[in-house]
Amino acid sequence: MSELVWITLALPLIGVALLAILGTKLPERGAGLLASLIMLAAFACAAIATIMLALRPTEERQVVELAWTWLSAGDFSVGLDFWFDQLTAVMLLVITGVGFLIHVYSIGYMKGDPQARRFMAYMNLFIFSMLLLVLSANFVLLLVGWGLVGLSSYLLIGFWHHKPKAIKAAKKAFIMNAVGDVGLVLGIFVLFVNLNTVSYSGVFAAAGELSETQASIAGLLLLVGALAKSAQLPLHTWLPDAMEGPTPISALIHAATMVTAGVYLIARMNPLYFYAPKVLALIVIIGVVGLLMSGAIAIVQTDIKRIIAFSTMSQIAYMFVGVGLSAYWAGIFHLFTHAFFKALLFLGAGLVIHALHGEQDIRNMGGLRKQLPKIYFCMIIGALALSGIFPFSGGFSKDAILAAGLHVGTTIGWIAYIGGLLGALLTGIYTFRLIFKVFHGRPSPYAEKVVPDAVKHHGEGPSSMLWPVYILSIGAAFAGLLQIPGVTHVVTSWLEPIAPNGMVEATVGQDWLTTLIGSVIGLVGIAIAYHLYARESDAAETIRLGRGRLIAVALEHRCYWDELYAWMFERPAQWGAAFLNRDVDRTAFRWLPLDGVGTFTAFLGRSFVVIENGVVRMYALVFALGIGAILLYLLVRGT
Amino acid sequence: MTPALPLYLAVSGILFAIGLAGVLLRRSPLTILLSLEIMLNSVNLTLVAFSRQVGGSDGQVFALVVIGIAAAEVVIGLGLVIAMTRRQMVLDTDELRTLSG
Repeated sequence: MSELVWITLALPLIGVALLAILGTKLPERGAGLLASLIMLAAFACAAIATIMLALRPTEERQVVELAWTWLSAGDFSVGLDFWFDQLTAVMLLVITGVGFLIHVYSIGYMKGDPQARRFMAYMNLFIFSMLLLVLSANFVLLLVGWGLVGLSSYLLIGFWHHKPKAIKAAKKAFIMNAVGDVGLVLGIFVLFVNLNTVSYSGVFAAAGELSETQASIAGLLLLVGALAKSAQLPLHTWLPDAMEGPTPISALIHAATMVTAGVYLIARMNPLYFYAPKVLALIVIIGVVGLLMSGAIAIVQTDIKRIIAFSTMSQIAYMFVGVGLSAYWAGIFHLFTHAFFKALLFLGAGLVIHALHGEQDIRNMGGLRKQLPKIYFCMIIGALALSGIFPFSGGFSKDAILAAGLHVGTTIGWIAYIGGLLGALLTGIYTFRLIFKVFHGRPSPYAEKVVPDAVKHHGEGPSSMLWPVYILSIGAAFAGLLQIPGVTHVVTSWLEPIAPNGMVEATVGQDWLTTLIGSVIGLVGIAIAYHLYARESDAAETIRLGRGRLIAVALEHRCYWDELYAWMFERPAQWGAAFLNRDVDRTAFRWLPLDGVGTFTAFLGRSFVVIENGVVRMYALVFALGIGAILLYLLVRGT
Repeated sequence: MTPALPLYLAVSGILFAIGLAGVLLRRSPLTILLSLEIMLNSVNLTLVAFSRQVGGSDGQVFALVVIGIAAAEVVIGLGLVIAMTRRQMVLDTDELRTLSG
């Protein structure tokens, strides 16, 4: 079994190497097929490994394997080792499974792009980095995976490097993530200083020895890393900009890799967070604020991909709420179902954009239902799952998180519950605003001109792009059935052992109550969306320009976070640079005898030219004399 | 009965001196390379002798490493000599004092 896990990890790396070495010798389509086949093989390995893990008795379902020691100094050592347990298995399946579908989709999406091979190589690299991140059994290796994920996201967001906006977005993502990396590194240092180990098993075993302050500091610093990678408040601003990358990348970042890393980290570190209850409460609050804010922002966005991007932020915030409530299984369950419906929505949006020849503004869409019926059907499934309507997958997983809040029952629990339900209302509104604006109503002049022609030529899209969407639709519709409260409990029984200190699990009654309320609220949201956006009268526009003017403007500016950061960091840096340039460089330094530095250096150089004359024998002589002098000195000194 | 350590060291020292003299006095790159080899092997002799004296095998391992590196070094040196001959340059280290061209 452990060999299979190693193979799963190695396959994408082999893919990168093959794609890089073969380069243009591969035909464009061949490169896509190769990358996809590698992903399929990796998925198969991961699936078999998971089945083998499931066949073991529960106590033996945690495998830690050391390949070789990587660094060692004194009694400190870091190994190249992996940690394969129930949580890792879920992550592996999501990463390789959804990753595979996105690879297949990319074959169609990137068709005709002269850089398609490079794209495929980067995609494989992304998958490899993420696999390394979730498989590592120590913090150093985790950091390597963490950094590689940041690098591959940079490469892929900025893939279309001829677009200045894409480059800017890539840099923004990289810098925001660097902030998080610093937090993660400091957190690891804190753990190492206190516990003298960087292996998970060592830290988890000794976590109880930490004082609450120490555990909280470590947990807080690790949380900074998780917030940046998962695009949560206040390090979230890179995510919407990252939409400049190709659509499959958006799907990959949002569904299978990257943003889930933060949730994974907190779930994995649960033995540590058990001793830092205040940090857990903070996670819940960050999550609740984040899900409400991003849900509200999503309502006013006009770019189809940005709407889905903000919805990701909101859904990841739900997962944070889940893990913050110690309902780790619910957070990971939502991660699992979210991977299906979010990948589905992104890939569906990519198909719509494809049919519209690259148009992303939903105001230029409308009425596409008749021309793109299959995509419409799939997107409806995704939207219902996202809105958390029973019995679609999102309903079960989101309500599991909220029910945990109800079960906890403290102030934090109630904040999570009420906030989460309000968030469900916003989710219903923004999701179905997208559906109504894109697929219903009257087609915009642009859509009317472009779409019928596109459909006539290549239907709703190439089959390599449609099939992944169909498969994801099945997942989005039925993945929730793994955990029907009171009926099935695959997820809870599978994930229970990952938290040695136990996790929160709501009662069946609380679960069904939440599911009922959540679905009703979701439907209300849909009804509001219908009222506002589906009818001919422009109710939404009236609110936007009338009573809701101030809120609408604030939301359209994404609550001014970018402006805040510009004001806090960019401006002072610019002022400082301008000051140094104007007042220091050009005035103060002009009056100092700085030319002397140059003249002196040149003089020094000229005086040494005599020795550096290029005669090898001369060099050898000086060398020999020098050695002789040293030996003589040692001899005279007598030791 | 093997000779005592000082004898080895004496031979090694003489070899080293010969080699050093060759490097310092001769101007042909080929001869300089030969002299370098003599120096390296004198050191090898010391290493092996000390290794025998101490009783471990570290010195012998070192000597093997030196031989390996010496081989690599000779390949580069002879390669340079051949390249210079091909370009019909003067094989005199005193004449070859500029890096460019």
